[in-house]
Amino acid sequence: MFRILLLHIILLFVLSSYAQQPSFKNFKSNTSPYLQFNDVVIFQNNVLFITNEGLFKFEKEAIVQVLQKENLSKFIVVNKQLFIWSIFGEIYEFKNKKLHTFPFNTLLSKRLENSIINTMIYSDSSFYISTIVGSQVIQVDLRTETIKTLTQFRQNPYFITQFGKKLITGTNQNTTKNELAIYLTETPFFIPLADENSNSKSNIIQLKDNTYLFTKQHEVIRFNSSSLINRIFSEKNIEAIHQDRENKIWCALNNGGIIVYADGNLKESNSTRYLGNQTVISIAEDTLGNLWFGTSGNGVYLLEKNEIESVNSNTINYKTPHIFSNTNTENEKIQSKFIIKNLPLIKEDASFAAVSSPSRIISIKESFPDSISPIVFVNSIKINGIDTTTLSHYELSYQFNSIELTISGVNSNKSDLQYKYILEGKDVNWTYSVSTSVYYASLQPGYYTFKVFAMNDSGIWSRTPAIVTFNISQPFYASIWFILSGILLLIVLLFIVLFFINKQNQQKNKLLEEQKQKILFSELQVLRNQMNPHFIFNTLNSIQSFITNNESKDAVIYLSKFAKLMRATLANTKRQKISLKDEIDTLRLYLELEQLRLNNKFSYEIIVDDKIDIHYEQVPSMLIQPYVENAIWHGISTLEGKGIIRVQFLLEKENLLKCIIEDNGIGREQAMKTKKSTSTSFGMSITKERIEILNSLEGSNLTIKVHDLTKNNKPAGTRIELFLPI
Amino acid sequence: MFKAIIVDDEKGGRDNLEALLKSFPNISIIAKAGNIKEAQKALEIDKPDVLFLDIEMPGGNGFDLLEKLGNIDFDVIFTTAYDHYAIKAIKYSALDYLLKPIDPTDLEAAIKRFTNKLKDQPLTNTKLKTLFNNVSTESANQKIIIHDGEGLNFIRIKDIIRFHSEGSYTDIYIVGNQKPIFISRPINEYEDLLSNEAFYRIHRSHFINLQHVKKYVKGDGGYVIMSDNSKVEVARRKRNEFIQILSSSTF
Repeated sequence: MFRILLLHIILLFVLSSYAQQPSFKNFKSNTSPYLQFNDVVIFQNNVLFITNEGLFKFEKEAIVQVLQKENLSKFIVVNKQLFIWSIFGEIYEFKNKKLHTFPFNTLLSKRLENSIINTMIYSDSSFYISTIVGSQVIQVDLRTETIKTLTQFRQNPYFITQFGKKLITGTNQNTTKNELAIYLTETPFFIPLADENSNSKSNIIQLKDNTYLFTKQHEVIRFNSSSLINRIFSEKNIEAIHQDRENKIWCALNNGGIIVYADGNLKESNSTRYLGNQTVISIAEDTLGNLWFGTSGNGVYLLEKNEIESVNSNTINYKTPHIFSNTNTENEKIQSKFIIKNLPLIKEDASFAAVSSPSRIISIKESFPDSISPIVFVNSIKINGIDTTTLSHYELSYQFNSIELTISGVNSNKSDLQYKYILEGKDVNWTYSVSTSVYYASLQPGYYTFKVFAMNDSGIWSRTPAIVTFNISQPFYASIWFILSGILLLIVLLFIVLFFINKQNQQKNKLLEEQKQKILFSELQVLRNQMNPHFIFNTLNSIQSFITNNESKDAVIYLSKFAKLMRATLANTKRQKISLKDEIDTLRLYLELEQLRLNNKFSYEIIVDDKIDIHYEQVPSMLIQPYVENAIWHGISTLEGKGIIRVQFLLEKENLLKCIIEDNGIGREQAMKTKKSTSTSFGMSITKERIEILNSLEGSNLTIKVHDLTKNNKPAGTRIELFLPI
Repeated sequence: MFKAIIVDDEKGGRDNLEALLKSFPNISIIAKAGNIKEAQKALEIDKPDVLFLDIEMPGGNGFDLLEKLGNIDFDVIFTTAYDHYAIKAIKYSALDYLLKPIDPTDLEAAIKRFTNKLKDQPLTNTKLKTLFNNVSTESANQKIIIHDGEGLNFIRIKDIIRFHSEGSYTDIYIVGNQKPIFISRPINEYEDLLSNEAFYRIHRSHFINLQHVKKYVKGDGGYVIMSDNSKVEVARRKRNEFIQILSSSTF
């Protein structure tokens, strides 16, 4: 559904943008592309521009600089003379490509020091200057060479202009009310303005049907010599207005391009917008009917006559010679709003005070038929596109945040109403509109107050606004309580996690410490086992027997072996791991000494796989000896006949050593029955324990397998298989 | 015939060695001394070819005697029951020693070595100097003497970067030397020799000085970059132990 709607909107947009899109030509200065074109004038067949960087002209399809001068404001064309005034009130004549300063400029700019000039006109050898800040009208009389502040306008005038012999001025009768004072007949009349702020520039032109068009900010008012005709709010502030030779009215908008009304009928339906959201600040029409638009920052747009025709087909079709040909100079007729000759109206001591007395104005106001305030209300409210019962307050959850309001007003006559509205909490400024539909999409959570006033043609605002309030709640996840509790929870969780990590570490450390102690203890026990008195003293006894039998050579040999074994045992206990070579050497010494003790009751062999580098491979020290000892004392010692002990080291896998300790003894079962010395089984249990510790501490995987060997169904020894990861 | 003097504070020690030496007809004992003074006297009377010198003796040890003698023109074989530190120093200095009780096979081997290198006797003084140095300085500044085809190399232990095994040969890389020292001995001899120092066998072919490890780069087994920027492979199954040693060592 939504997609179809979107498609329609896009289609509509595309179609509308293709239709009626006249071609504007855009020109920019090559040297300064971002000029602000304050004014455009067609003078002696030249198109001249006042910009923030000075005077420019249109030449060979380009904007070129004529002279450099900052702070120039507007042109004034008087007959064949071209005057330019600056924002400080200095007046220059442009002649022979130069600016000629008037001698009174210093005096004049001093008098205008704290003012902002709204308009300047020339009339009857005098310049009249009106200001919006400072509220004064100054006359520069060229004949008498005097500068006067016209006291009759002391009641806060903010513009002055004249048409023919008539003068119009806007006054602010009191400090709160802003009015247009119109002196077109003997009896002036007043039009209240919607805008409370008088400190903004205004425009006024006379239309071909002898009505007048006044603009100030977003307000557009059309009136004739005796009364108001209609008024409208423009979407954007109006910078300049112009009526072309086909009666179309062009308004230059701040941030809104241009809007053109087909005739004096100022209706939205009667208008077309161009140039997007550019800021257009000046308009001029040349002798051929081409229109020139000066922008702020985007150069100059030229809309040629034939293009203007393409906009509105019902207008007369002109044949258009090229604009820049030098013909038609005689026919040049400048459409200027300020060409006024012999205007006698303003004289220095003429008294206007009576005309604009406050009491008079009040009486005029009361005589207005439409002086009753209109009533405004909000008709309907749609939330997220769904109609609601219209209430004065809405509590909305965060996802219901698109609000569409329809406003309407009741008026004493049937004239159109204008509206101004604001959504407090979102908007900073009032929006002035003729539209009765207001739409706010995707509002952030918060408290909003929608206020709307209506204004009738007489400029009378509704006394009270229609007010609707909306409270859009924070989503639960954004509410302060949710966030706070979330943070709190997080902190608590963090503490819990830290606590457990800490505890775990402590436990780990404790465990590690325990294991270390266990290892030390087990190593001590291994040492004690290896150095067991039984072995030591029996060996010494055997050696002693050599001496008593005068076999000193053997005594020396075995004593050396005994010493070496003791030394090796001492050295090996200092190290967790020793090379396989050291282990084998120690084992060999042990076996030789046991052979001595048992009077060569057994023979032994130690076989090492060729693939094993005994120097490089490391094994836990003193791990194998207890099994060999076990084989000797449990398997061989009580055996009838000669025993054989075979120790083999094989490379089971790339990183797994297999040690086989094999004997041809009596077997485990028989050995259990004979119950020999417990010290050897003690050695075995120590070793088993040590293997467990090593496995848990180093994560290694030492394993033992015990096989009972049989021959002809009779026990024939034991085979121990030790798997040592390397 | 080689003349020998035996120095040992214990009578049993002296007599035992004397008895054992009877099996060697080319050795004749010219004197036996129970302490340094007696030894000095004996040496004044007659010069031996070899001195069997006990290290630990009351009233001055074996090293003191040699220091007093200065340059000597005989060989020395130390005898000791158990003196780990002294044995280490002797080993580093490539001097010979016998452990008590004396194994006749070891004695035979020592005497064989002595007779074979008689012509090299002048080197004994240099070796002894190294020994005195090793005994008197801290571990890091101790030197080891390594024989190569050309002669003796006196190498400070802390300057050894690594040993590289080439079968039964070994290359020794040393700080400041462009080329390694080439030795016709297997790497495990040095592993045994330096087992108490900060050295580690990271690979079948590599025995390195941990103090020269600049960087360990992870990998299957990974490799280390040594101070001379050489890359040395770490065996996969040595990896964990190596990392543990690296992280726990305090050098």
